[in-house]
Amino acid sequence: MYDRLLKSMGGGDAEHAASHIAMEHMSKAAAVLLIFWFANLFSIWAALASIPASILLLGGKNLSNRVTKENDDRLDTLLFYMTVTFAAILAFVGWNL
Amino acid sequence: MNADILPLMVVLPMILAVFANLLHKKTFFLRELGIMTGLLMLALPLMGNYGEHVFGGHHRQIYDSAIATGIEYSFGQHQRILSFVLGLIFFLVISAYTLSHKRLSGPYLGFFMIGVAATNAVMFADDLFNFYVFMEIALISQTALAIATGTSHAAKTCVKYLIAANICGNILLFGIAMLLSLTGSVNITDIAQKIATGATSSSEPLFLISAGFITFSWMYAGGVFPFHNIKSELYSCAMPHASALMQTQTKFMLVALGIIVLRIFSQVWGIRHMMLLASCLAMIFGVIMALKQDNYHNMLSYHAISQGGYVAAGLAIGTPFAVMAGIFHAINHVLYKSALFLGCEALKMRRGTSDFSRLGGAIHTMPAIGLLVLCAKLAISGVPPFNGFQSKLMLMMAAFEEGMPEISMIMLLVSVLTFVSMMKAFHIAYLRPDEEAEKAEKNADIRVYAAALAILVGLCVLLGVFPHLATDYLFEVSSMASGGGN
Repeated sequence: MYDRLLKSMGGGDAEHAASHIAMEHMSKAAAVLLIFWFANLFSIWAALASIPASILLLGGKNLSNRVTKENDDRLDTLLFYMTVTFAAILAFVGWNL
Repeated sequence: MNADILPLMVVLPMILAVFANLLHKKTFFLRELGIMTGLLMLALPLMGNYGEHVFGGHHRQIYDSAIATGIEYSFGQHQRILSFVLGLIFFLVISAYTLSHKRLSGPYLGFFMIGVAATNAVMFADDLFNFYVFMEIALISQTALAIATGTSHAAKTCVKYLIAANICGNILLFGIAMLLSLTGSVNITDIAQKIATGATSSSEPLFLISAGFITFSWMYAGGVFPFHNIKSELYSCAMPHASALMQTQTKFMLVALGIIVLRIFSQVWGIRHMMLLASCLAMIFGVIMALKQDNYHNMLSYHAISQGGYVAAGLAIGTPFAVMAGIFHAINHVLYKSALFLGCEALKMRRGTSDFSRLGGAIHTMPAIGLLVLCAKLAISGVPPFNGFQSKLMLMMAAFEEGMPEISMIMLLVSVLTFVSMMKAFHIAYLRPDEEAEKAEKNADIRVYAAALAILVGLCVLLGVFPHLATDYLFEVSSMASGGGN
């Protein structure tokens, strides 16, 4: 796994390869846990169903690259996620009406 | 009891900041002024009485029927310990800056003082408008400290940050205005009383919109998702000693506004879920982005955000134990992260860079700093007997008790990755042999950094072994924030 990863990175060292593996596994594990937690807010059955579904969806995907891309330092990205978060908060509080 | 000394913690550093400007480039006087202010900010929280201080004869409505629009500060047990820790970090940062630099800038020193005054005011304010004003001042002082480095990257980052600050500041002000129109008061205690007694309905649309607006502002003030990138960029633009104070300010503003949100809006369904989601995303993205960095200072900046996620998660879980654990983690975090930032600056002074590619072998040339930095790294990773272990354990237990084992697992995963990232950085900067880098090392005096690190790491061990030294001060506020009293 290490050799293959180093080759795909076009060089690098063991420290960076280890970081890459850690980032990828962390991204996937955190995504599954967050989906489970969120679905569990509504129903335990939805939460249980979300585990195989999310594993299926995330399998084979390079999630850490996606995370890196969505965390760039552009103003557009910041404004986009500000808008999305603001809308989500208002939708959540609107649920109380 | 009227806490008479309380305004001094805000007014004194503000006045001394004016003197710092007047003494620009007069290094001897600036050094004396800086260290004297640091000592004052360390001593004042220990001298003040608990109680309230009202300005201009204004009172809370619960005392009489007059409309409460005046400024009011309150000083409880948690404010004492948070203000003391802020004073300590300020003193160490100012000492590091003034004793290790040959030329001192008056305005730069002044912005440190303004920042610490504003953060104290944010923690003491019992009225929302005063809170808003000082939060803006604190955030502007952070921007000024970053822009003082004079690089084009810092200028660009500060412009981006100010755009976000402008939007979020207005959103917070709108939220406060809505609460004022509903309750007739900006006093936090009054508003919380009115909601708790049902005098103001918590299902009013205006109240719900206000809840959304102020919660969004909490995310901005505390640097959690979606503001995690811009905050960490701001930290990485500043000098590492300034980053140490900036991240302390951010954590304490996160706690102060988080307590307000919990006191006023805890009955609104969805608010704590959104807070928890933002906290988890800050934890996850912070640590992943930290692993990706090839610069030591940038890496520490992302870790500051990731650890802020833990603090925010404690507040978002919202039980008295979780809130206490969250605030305890804020205290612990600012201690070990300030040690790490100061350690990074010592390294930068000797090597002239914090790029991983040009670091290595520092354990041979600065062994004392290396050992203390290793302790701080173990503390941030949650390894016993350091303080990070105690607060992370409390947070995980709080999430578990509240029926959120997945949040506990996320905290555990982030902690493991923090350990990986910290050990990687320690290996690269201190253990990896690099004879060329060792030979090229400058002969900068870093004794003040070693002393500051020794104090901070000593406190990390002390709070790790005796956590009740801090948690005893936090029971009152955690019970109040989670609805046990207003």
